[in-house]
Amino acid sequence: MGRVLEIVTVGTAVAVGVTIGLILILHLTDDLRAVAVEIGTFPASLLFGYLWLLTLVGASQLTLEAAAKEGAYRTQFENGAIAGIGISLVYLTVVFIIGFVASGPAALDPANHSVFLVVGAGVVVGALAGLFVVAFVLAVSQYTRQREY
Amino acid sequence: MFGSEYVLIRSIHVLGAGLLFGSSALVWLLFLSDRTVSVRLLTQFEILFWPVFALVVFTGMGNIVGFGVAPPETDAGIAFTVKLTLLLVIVCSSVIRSVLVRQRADTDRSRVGGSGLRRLYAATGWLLAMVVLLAGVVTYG
Repeated sequence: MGRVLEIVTVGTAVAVGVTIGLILILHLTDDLRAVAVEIGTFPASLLFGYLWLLTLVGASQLTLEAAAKEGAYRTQFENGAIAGIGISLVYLTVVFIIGFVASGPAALDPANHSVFLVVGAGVVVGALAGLFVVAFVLAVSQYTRQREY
Repeated sequence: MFGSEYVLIRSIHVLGAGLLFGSSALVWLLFLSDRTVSVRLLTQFEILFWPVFALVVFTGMGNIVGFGVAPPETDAGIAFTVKLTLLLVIVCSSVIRSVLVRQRADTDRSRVGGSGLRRLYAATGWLLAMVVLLAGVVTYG
C-alpha cells in the first residue's frame, strides 16, 4: 500500500502542479480566456488525462522512499531527469501528431510553432522538473526522518 | 446538452472540493479527539485524496472553458490568482503530508499521532476552506 501511495502522490502532484502552474501563468498574462475557449473541454480533458497517465508511469520508475532510507540519491536524480525528459518527449510527440493529423485548436497546431524549439524547451523543462521533484521529495523525506516530525 | 454538460462538470467540481475539505477536516478532528489515528485510515485517505484532487483540478478547467474567467486585474481575477497560488501551496504541503504517511506506513505501528501530521491535516482543511471561499468570489463576484 505504501508503494502505491508513493506513485499516486508523486505522479498526481506533478500532473496537478504543472497544470495549475500553467493555468496561473496563462491567467497572469491574460491569455487564459482565449486559450481555454479555443482548446475546448474535450481536448483539454484528453491533454490532462494523458499527462496524468504519463506522470504516473514516470513516478513508478522512482523509488524515492527506499532511496531516502538507504541514502542512494544519485540513481534517483538520474531516473528523475530521464523520466522528466521521457514524459516531455512522449507528451509533445503525441500532441504534435494529433495536431498534424486532426484539425484542432490553433494553439495545438504544429504549423504555428517551431517544433524543434518546443521539443528542445520541453526536454530542458522536463529534466529540470524531474530533478526538482526528486530533490523536493528526498529533502522532505530526509527532514521528516531526521526530525521524527 | 451544452448546459447539462457544464452542470455535470460543475457538480463534480463542487462535490469533489466538498469531499476534500470535509475529509481533511474530519481527519484533523480525529487527531484532536483521539490523539492517534490508524495508519491504514491515513493511507487510504491519501490514496483517495490525490485522484479526487486531480478530478477537482480537471473539472476546474472545464469550468474555465464553460464559464470563462475574469481579467487578472479585476477583483475576481485577483481572487482567481490567489486561489491558484493557494492550490499550489496545497499541492506542496500535501506531498509533505503523504510522504510522512508513507513513512509511517513502513513502520510496525498501527496508529500514529504527533503534532506534525495533525498540523498538516489542519493546514490542508483551512487552505481548502479558503479556496472554497475564493471560488465563491470568483464565481459570483
